[in-house]
Amino acid sequence: MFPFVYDFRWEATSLIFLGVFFAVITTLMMMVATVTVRSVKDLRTRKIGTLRWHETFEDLPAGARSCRFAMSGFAPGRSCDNFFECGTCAVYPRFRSLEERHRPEDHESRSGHGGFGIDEKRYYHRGHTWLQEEEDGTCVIGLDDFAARLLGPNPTYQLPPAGSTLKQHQPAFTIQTGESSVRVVSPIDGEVLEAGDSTRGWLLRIRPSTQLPHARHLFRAGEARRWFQAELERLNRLVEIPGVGATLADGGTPVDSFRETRPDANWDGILGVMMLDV
Amino acid sequence: MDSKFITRGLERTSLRNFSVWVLFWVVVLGFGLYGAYLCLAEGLNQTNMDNRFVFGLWIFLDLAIIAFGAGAFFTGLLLYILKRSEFTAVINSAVVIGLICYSGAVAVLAIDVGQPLRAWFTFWHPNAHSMLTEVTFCISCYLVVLAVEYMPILLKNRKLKERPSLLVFQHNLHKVIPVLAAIGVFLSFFHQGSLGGLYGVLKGRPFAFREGFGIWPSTFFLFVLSAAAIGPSFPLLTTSLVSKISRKKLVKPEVLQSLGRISGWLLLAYVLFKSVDTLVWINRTSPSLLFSPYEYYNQESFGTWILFAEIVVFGLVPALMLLTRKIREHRGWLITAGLLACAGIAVNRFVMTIQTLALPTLPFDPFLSYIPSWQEIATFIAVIAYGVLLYSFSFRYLTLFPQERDLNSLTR
Amino acid sequence: MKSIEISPSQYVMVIDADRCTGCGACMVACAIENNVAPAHPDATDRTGVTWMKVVKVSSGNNGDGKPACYLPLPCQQCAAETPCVTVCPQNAVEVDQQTGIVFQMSQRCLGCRYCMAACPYHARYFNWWDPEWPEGMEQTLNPDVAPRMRGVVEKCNFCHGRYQAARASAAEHGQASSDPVTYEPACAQACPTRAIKFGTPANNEQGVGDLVHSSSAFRLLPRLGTEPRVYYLSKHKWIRQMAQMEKETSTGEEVHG
Repeated sequence: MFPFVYDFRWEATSLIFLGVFFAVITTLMMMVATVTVRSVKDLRTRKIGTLRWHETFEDLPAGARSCRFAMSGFAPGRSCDNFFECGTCAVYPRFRSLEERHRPEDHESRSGHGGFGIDEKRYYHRGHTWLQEEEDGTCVIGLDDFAARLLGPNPTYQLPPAGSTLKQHQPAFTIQTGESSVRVVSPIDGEVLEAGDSTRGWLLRIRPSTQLPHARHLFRAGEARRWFQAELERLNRLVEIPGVGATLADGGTPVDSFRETRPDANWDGILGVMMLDV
Repeated sequence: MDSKFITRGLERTSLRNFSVWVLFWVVVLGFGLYGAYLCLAEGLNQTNMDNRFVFGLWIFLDLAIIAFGAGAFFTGLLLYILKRSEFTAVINSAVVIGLICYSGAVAVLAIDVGQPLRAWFTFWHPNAHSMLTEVTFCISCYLVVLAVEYMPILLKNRKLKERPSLLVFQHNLHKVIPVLAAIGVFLSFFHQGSLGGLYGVLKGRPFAFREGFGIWPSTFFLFVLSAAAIGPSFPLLTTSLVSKISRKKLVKPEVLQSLGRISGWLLLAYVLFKSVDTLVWINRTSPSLLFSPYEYYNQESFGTWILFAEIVVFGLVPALMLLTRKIREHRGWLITAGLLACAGIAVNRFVMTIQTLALPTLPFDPFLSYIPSWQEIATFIAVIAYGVLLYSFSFRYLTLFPQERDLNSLTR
Repeated sequence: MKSIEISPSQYVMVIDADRCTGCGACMVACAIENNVAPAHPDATDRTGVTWMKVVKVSSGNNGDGKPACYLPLPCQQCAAETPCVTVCPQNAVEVDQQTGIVFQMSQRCLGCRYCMAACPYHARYFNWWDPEWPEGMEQTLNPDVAPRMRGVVEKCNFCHGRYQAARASAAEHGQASSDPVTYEPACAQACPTRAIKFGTPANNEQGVGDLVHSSSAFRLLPRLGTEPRVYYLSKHKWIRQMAQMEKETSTGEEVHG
């Protein structure tokens, strides 16, 4: 194997063979070394939050990753490839202007859909949270109607204390319901000012780093309505909820708690898949 | 109870059912390992191999499962190098199958050699002219590659990925997977070929000897091509089998059909080259060594039917089946065709190993027969049990089929 | 038929098939000389170790007065494209350029048996069992030859132990180390009919230099191009044709030594 080993053969075939072997071994070792060095660097530079979101995003089922323009019909079948960061998405401006030209009504406010309260003042995030701007410039975060029905009665919340920093798409708080717990991602960057609870109608009061109208990744009004519809369809593929079919067809009111209608379903899994916690 | 370890959105059988399944295979594994232990502790006299039938069941099955394991490298080639992104659906499963096939084959080879503790001699004093040296080097390297490829799949486990260090490592490892896949393709090309070359170079065995190009006999290229041809077929079969056992839709039917179509084209090319090779061998190679090819098939067990079965029944027929859209779109026929294709490659490996050794070389030699001993069969059963166990654990706790969550409801 | 001229200073063995009576003395002498352990009780014809194997070949219908012959089969010490050398993954088989002897380094052998599959003459043997000598018999072991362990391959090496001893003694007498030495392997020495002759064509011991060129000389499977250093002699055409695969095959059976 090495020239110093007894019976080493200085012949072309041997040298080529060993050369290729050592090249392969070196490449492999270099790769593992590079991966290790990069990992240590990533751990040190605290990029772990972003990285975890990217990994979670990659792990989402394809159905959870539809592009918003796929839902609006301008990019049929398109899957998001930018971690739901519409703010840095290359195709966003193009589809957005198309959408504005052809469907201006989408951006007008309208009341709820399918029994889901859609508040025109609110901005919706794909992790089933909403944001609402208060008069004093702060924002409140709450869980949307869909999440409430998924969670069932009396979930408990573990909310971050005032002063905590929130990062967009990174865990903001956890909810415990029954045997499962699910972490909810923050819809936006910001700083926690106050923790609320369900009785006050919101869970966190924050000071966002971006003004809401500039947060392109959030849904409003007509778009939110379409997204709710898509989410309802997605849920219905995971577990057929009695009455939801009718809801989808005629816009009727779905049941108050999805959970109670189908106790036989794997609700821990459904919760994770629907709330982007996989 | 173990639901915190199962990927969210996947529905798995109860821990109790799984334990029963695992227990069964652990018992089988235990029996198999006992046979393997006897071969290691008492020596190879526990087998029915002998000075003339120097290789037996083990080498045949090693060659076959290494060909079946080609799915890992070939799916990697399609996905990472030819950018056929639809195969993301099967790559994880293919990697696990590849890892099982290769680690199993290496384990059996370690028992098959008389002095396993001297295995490092091959690395220390390599003979670059030997096909077996090449096989040893390539398979060892490729096993490392497969283990590294398995890591990101393993580290994506729901519990493991909670640890930041593992998550980050997995993330960075995943980024270099295409490089690994490329190395895997390179290594696979050479060792699949060299496994064919193992027998093709044996001029002392005119039944196996083939002329070739440069230092490689034609069997080198035929083995590469045939391994590539069933590379897509074997994942097709395993996916269908797992789907049947778990009662889950694992991938979209189009993905399997696509695998079948690629398999069909490669198999057709293989059958073509194999036929040409056989004609050259019958008309030129073998007669030039004064061996009449007629004599090979004059033996009671191996008539010309085996040649016909290998090339037509298990070669041309599945190739044409896989290339017919109507047949491909019918699930049952697709699986049948995949099964025939894999059987064909197994027959080819059988012919190259067992039939080669059974046929006489010296003019006064008799035709030999060989029946494996129970220890040999047990050792192989151990590999099967090990494979089933590793796959079962991987299937339960890892995400082998990303499309599964989109294709199944989450009801019990 | 084309033939590589074997270097005159390299050893050849010439076995006269017409003289061989199939007594098996060569097999016994070989086993004793080379420390081949007595066969394990479970060993069969196909799992025992015998560097020299005598095979009986019957003529079928065309024996021209000789219904059967015996062919002692040691390693043929192939001079060209030596099949076992190229296949060994760890260079455990070597051809000594000076003597032409194909040497199996059992100490380096892994026991993969690829060389056995490659050998067209089936002259290689695997140790399926641990070598064991009955109580007291280990006293008779030849100190010049290392016994082999279980799980490795071994074969005839033209009595390498005797060769080394002959060289040592020649050196003592002042002979140059490049000159071939004269010695006789155990089988040749033991043969009661002197059917086995051994030497270098250069020294022409026992006339081997002339015998290899005689019209009755032949080698096994010459078309494989392995150029064996073991020649056979027979006046019977059927034997020569059979060995060279020029005619229909006949059946053989092993002689138990």
